[in-house]
Amino acid sequence: MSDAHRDDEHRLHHVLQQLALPPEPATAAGRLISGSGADAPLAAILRAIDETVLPRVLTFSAGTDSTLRCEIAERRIIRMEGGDALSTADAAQTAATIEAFCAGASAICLRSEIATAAAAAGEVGVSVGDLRACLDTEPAAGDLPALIDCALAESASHALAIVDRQDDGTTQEKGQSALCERLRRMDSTPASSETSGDVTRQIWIGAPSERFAVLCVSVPGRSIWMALDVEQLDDCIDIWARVG
Amino acid sequence: MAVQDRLDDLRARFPGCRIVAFADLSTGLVFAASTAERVGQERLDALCADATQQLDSAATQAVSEHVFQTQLAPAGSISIGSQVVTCVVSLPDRGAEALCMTCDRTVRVVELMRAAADVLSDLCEEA
Repeated sequence: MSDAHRDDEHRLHHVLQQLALPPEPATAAGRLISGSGADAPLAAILRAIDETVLPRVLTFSAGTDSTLRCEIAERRIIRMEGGDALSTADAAQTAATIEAFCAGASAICLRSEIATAAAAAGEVGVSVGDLRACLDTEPAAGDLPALIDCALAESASHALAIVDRQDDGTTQEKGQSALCERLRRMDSTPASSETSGDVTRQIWIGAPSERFAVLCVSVPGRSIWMALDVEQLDDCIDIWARVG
Repeated sequence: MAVQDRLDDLRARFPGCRIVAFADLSTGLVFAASTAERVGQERLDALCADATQQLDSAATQAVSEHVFQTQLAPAGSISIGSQVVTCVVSLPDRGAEALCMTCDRTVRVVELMRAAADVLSDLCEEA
């Protein structure tokens, strides 16, 4: 299977997973896609763009008076704020605009509307790949909490359930409630000898009939338990190996 | 096919797989191993000890009980390091034999573990 096919498979898998979940909290500005345990703002916006194939106008809101309006088609930003049609050459400027919008935002809401017009011929827009190339999305190697947040956001689409527990008593949960309930019972840390720095990452695979595997990422003060689709494990291993 | 040939064949199918060791985790005895480069017995023993720890830890028992909701130990465990991935495959309903593996991050680990489970099953049946 090619990487492109695998990307499509993962995207479809994520969309189907989201459909199986309870609806995200909605406000007057749309549904909440970042905040209250959801993805980081930048990751959430990029994901929303990447999952929009049919022509749509996505309006992202951060707070009461800060909005970002994007015309999307084929997973590319065709226009922002009603301006001229974008192309790959505009990727850096577009990325900077999105990054500035996300700065300081604690929650992002999304409202999606059907676009009145499809992209005209020759309007190629800016893809998420173009944006990522311009964004400084990789935290510094020594910034362990940021690396973990980044890996968590990246692997969330592969997870059936996540329980993220901090030693201060804060627990965030996402995904299928029955699996979250099982993961919530876990509080010990894996005693693997294969550690890197302060991070321990271990995966358990059950009987062949089990459709999920269990990942525990443990750092001082925090433990993350995830139930993962077995077919997505390789990607998760790659993501978490980069932490620490 | 001899045990050694099976281990060599398994490792050869996954470039980046450095060590495949067939061991009894209850005694820590490594029966046979296939390695990409020459490694000492102490490294094989350490791999076996790591595998035992992965499958016998309190966390592993809790995962079986609370998450997989079974009395059996998990069929496999993967420990992720920044450079290498260490995996162990066992047949919890059959005995303490296991295949312990060390591989690069580039290896498709799920595929490797499925192939290893087949090899282990054959080895246990023949024993």
